[in-house]
Amino acid sequence: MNRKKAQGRFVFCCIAPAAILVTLFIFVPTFNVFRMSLYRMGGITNKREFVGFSNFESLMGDENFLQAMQNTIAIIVLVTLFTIFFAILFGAILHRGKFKGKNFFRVIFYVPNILSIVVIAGIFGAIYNPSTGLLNTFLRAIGLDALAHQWMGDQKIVLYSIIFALVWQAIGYYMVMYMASMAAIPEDLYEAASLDGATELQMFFQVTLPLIWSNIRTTLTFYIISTINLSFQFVQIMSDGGPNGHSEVFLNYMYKQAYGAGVYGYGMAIGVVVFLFSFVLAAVVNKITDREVLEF
Amino acid sequence: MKKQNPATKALFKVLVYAALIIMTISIIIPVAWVFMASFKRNAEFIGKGTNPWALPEQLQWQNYVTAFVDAEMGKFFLNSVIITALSLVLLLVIALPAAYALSRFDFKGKKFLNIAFMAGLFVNVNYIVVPIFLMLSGANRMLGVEFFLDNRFILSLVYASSSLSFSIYLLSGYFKTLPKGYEEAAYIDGCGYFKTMVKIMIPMAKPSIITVILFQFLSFWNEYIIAFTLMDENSTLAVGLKNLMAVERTATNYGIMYAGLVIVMIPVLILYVCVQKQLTKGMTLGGLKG
Amino acid sequence: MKKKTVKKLLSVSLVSAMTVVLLAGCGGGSDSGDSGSDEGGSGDGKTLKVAAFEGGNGADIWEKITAAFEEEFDCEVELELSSELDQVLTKEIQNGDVPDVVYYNLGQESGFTETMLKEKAVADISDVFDDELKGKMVEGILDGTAAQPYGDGKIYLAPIFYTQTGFWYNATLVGEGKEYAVPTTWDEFFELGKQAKADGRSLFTYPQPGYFDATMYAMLAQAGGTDFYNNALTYDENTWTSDEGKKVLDTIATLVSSDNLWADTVSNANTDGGFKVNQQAVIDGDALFMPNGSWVVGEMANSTPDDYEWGVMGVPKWSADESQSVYTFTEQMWIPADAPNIDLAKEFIKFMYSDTVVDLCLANKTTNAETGEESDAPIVVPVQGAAEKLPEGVIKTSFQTGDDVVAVTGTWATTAPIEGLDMKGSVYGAIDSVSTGDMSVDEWQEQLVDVWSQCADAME
Repeated sequence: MNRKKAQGRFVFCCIAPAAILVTLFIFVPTFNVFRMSLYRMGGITNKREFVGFSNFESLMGDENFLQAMQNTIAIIVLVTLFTIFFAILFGAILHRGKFKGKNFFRVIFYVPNILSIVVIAGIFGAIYNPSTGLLNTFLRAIGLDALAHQWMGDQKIVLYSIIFALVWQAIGYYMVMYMASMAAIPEDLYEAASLDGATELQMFFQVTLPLIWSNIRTTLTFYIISTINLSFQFVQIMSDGGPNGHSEVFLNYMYKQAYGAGVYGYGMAIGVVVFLFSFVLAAVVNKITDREVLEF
Repeated sequence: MKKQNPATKALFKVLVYAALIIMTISIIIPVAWVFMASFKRNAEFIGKGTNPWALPEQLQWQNYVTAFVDAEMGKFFLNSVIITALSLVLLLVIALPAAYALSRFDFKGKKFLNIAFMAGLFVNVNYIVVPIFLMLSGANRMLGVEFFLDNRFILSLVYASSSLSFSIYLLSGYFKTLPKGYEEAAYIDGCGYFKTMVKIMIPMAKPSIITVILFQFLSFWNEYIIAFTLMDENSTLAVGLKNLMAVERTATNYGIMYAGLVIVMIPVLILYVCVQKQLTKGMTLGGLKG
Repeated sequence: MKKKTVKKLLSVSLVSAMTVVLLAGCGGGSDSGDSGSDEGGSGDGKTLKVAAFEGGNGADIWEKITAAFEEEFDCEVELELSSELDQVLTKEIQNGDVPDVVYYNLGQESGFTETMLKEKAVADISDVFDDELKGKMVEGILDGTAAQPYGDGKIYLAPIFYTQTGFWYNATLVGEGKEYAVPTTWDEFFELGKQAKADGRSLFTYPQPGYFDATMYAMLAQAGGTDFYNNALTYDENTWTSDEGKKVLDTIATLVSSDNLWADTVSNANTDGGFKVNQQAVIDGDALFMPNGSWVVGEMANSTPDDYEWGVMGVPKWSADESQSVYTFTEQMWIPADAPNIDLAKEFIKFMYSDTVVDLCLANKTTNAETGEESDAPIVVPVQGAAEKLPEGVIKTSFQTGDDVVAVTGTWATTAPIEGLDMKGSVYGAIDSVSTGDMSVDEWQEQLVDVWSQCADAME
């Protein structure tokens, strides 16, 4: 009994500081965001008028918002798929492959994460520039003029140009994550498979992939959260949502409304929807990908 | 592997190398490009016949001097070091016990707490930063002090709080994988809960602690939205850079802009190269268990 | 004088803001935070807080103006300069620290001034403009919605600087005896486009879609006259369905069609800093014309070859015998309704029209951050006679008004806030899509009609 009490006290002391801080600096402000979404306010002075759920009603009929939502969903889906593919591919190569320079590649691939978004946006600005950019000058040099495009100016292409930049930046980060869990797979599993005559490819699908599945599932949540955030930072510098809203994303639109259009409460309503959207999406994805966990 | 003939194997190897090298080039070239761009004069960015891939006509060191002075980098550098370090310490001191308790003990409300910390992951600083500012400025006004804003400790506390959810999530995932036996042995030896945690369990979690440091160091060092809002005189390097960018963007002095970016990037690159061996080792040992 | 580019934001909470006022009132001397102590001798010795946007005009001019004001009025000026003034002020005002005078224009990306207006947080300054001052100012400059945003006859925004806008062009190629003749009507203009295309040049480019504001205002006035124009600014429902409105839209659509528009325009228009690449296209002769203002000369000085010449003309007319409408772009200064020293702030605004300031502005120079070189960047205060003092050159030409020129001012009127409306995006952003053919003129028209009806509903 005494032991139970002591344990309770210990657990309380361990968790209380974290719980207090998260409440104070995450939940209370979030609650305030929810509250402000019920007001009509400009966000500069403290004049405000309670309007109930009217901000949310306007949001449902706001075509600009729906376009931003459509774009954001497309970005999340495509960035996740491409990043997972390349991150696992490179991770598996560096994990299983036996060749020189593994460490070198591992170091280099992580570098895009160290660069600030502004550097990355600057780099891609120089790549995508229609007349002097690397991409178009290269395509023209090898005679593929037809493939040269207005990468940031054509509203049918601009979203993919941004997705490419996002994937480029994310591969290294997730590769490191996947490699970490690949490294935890006991070597004897591979030896056994090898004795059964499995090829590297078969081993990948029968040993590696199933065993890092729970890790991939975990990262799906990260993809959702970080893509919403990063797509905003990329778009803000690279295109500001243009041309004509075709690369607009959730948080960039929220910023424009909250700080540019004088409807701060409405911007906060967008914030609430983004929060709920990512939460629900993560829950759904988590449910769908739920399989029997293979332990090793 | 035995059944693969040498030709397939060689082809496989070539493909692997090709993929790795393409990715490497796609990273090295742009990074080198930023370094190159930081030495160019403005006239080399805009105008007829400029080529973004040409070498600088001369090394424009003045770009670095201007960027360093205008962004008040000398002043903000130390602040950035202090704030990043303090945030990491606070984060670990608070997150480790919480993650440990949440993953290795059974108690009432555990499920609720787990969900609550999880929910924190979905909150985005971009929309809570103004409420945090209003809360702190309100606290100042109520108490008639100027303590809560432009305070390095408070900023570190906010940073630590903002990454608690993520860190607890990572750390408790790791703690869960450790066998129960260690603690039982410690209890039998007469160790209390606290001593067991500090002396036995936390050292074992070192790999995942390194993972947390790796991920959070960069985000604290580069963060500017919260710092810009809450800080003023004691601001960070990232904010100095943001101010510089705002000025140079209106003036579109690209060379100076890139020089500023390089100055902020270099300490991180050096640090990364120095510690990457331990980091990758730590990550590999620690791993992420969902 | 205290100049603080990075302002100490925490210093003045509501409590200490009151302290400052009290201290100032008593002429006391104790220093409260960093907000300044009294050093002035006998006069009222107050501290005036001036917040100014640091943009293309540079920082120097504000230091000079405030220094002159301090001398004349025996007070202290706390000058706050920032190129992100909207963000800095939002923070400070939320914190209860309200500046006395703000220089921040309408039409900026952040919409800061518009938001302050929507919140009714800008003071009525009609009494600053007494008959004497009114008589001194450029005619008509106080009439439009850029000075009277609510259209209620009261002045809230003081037009402190102005410039004439129009189509700026490459005068090395276009002009008398040059490769191309200067057109005056749209027909001539588009004819010139065909000629240019044959030479591998494009007729037109625009820095960003937002630069169409002045063009559109001038075109609306040109197409329908002053009454039509003023009705359009206050969201008359027939604005875009009328023949005049449709004519404006059709002409813009032709202007930005792939026949006439420089191909890279849209790509550059949306990327950070890309507007300069579009402007450079005119200098390089890839495109001939673009909508702009006189600031472009200084803005592009770094990458302008010595033998290059700028030219400027009004937006083309539909027929040669119409009088020419020219849009006057003004920059605004205003006083927050909660400013602690409103009276002194009004004096400051009045001072902006004094001979001292007029001369300071005309003599303004900007410094190149890279080379340290100074170049002339004259600013013109909208008082009569100021523009005549400009040195001979294209900037002076741009201010010259003939008899058949109608000056147009104003901006889309301020409405109550509308959730989900992106005014700039719907009106100008659409031009990007129209130019690529992804949006038809009819769709654009429909969108504008919808925006206009929303805005009309939100007018009070």
